[in-house]
Amino acid sequence: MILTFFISIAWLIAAFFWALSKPLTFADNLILWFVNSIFIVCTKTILTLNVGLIKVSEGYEYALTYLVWRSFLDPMLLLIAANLVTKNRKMSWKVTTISLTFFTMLLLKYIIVRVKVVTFINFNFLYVLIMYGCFLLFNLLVTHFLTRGGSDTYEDYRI
Amino acid sequence: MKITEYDHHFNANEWFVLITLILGFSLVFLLPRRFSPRESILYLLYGMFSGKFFDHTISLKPFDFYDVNDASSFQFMDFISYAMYAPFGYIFIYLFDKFHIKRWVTIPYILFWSVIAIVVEYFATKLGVYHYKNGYRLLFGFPIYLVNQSILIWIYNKIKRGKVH
Repeated sequence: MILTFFISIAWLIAAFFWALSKPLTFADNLILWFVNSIFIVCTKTILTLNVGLIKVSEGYEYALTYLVWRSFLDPMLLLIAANLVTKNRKMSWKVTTISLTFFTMLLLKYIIVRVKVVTFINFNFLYVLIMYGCFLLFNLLVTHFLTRGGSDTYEDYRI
Repeated sequence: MKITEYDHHFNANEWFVLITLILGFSLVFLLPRRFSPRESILYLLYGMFSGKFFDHTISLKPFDFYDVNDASSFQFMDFISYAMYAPFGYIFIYLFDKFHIKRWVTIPYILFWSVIAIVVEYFATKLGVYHYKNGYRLLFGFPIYLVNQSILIWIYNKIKRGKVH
């Protein structure tokens, strides 16, 4: 049941991203997706596999839910945040966007912990706050560098 | 979680990763430019992302089909091995663009590169970069390479069409 729920949430978030008018180009969105994905997966793998602070349940349904959440939902939420933050110059808009993204990511994490897809071992929601804060900050930094550069032309590099 | 260790030394598998990384990136930097910096980064990142994606899904429980390098835990050399995949993606799409490969020729091109990927993986496995488990075999990776490369070509075409418009 939990897998069904998370796949439905994944669909909803993907649909939201599809419908969103995106100020970032296809290439920029992909770069952000890849970079965020690598960062998130490496961090979570270290926490689970290496230091053992988080334990992932081994049942197929739970493991697939974890994969959907870690590999798709978190990077997608960060991607949506990057596009929304870039869309509007107003600081109040940016702060609202970042806050909503942060809240959504925390909510999904809470659900994941509550249904025991993951179990905290010497870990708690304060660390989760710090971790997601780092993810968001990293995402915004990469977005800033991507948008600061402006668009580069293909023709300049064509041989 | 029980960690399986395969060896403790800096040896063949580490050298394979480092040499492949150095050779790959040397080729990337030496080749005449065909893409903008942003596109180049994208194609390099795709290689890294796809390697990481499979190393962190089918190589972990409940699938657990293989381990990478010296132990089943995530090590620094594992991260370096993701970077090792990056030049493959770039060179794949570089040659695709350079030789103006289109339509039906795309099919043997992808098949050829998938065979190359399998051969490289074979040598990597022999040198201890990959340790197969739970019935996984070398040729299981072949369709994964086919899909991976198809996705990269789709990305390339989408970017190219975007520039034309």
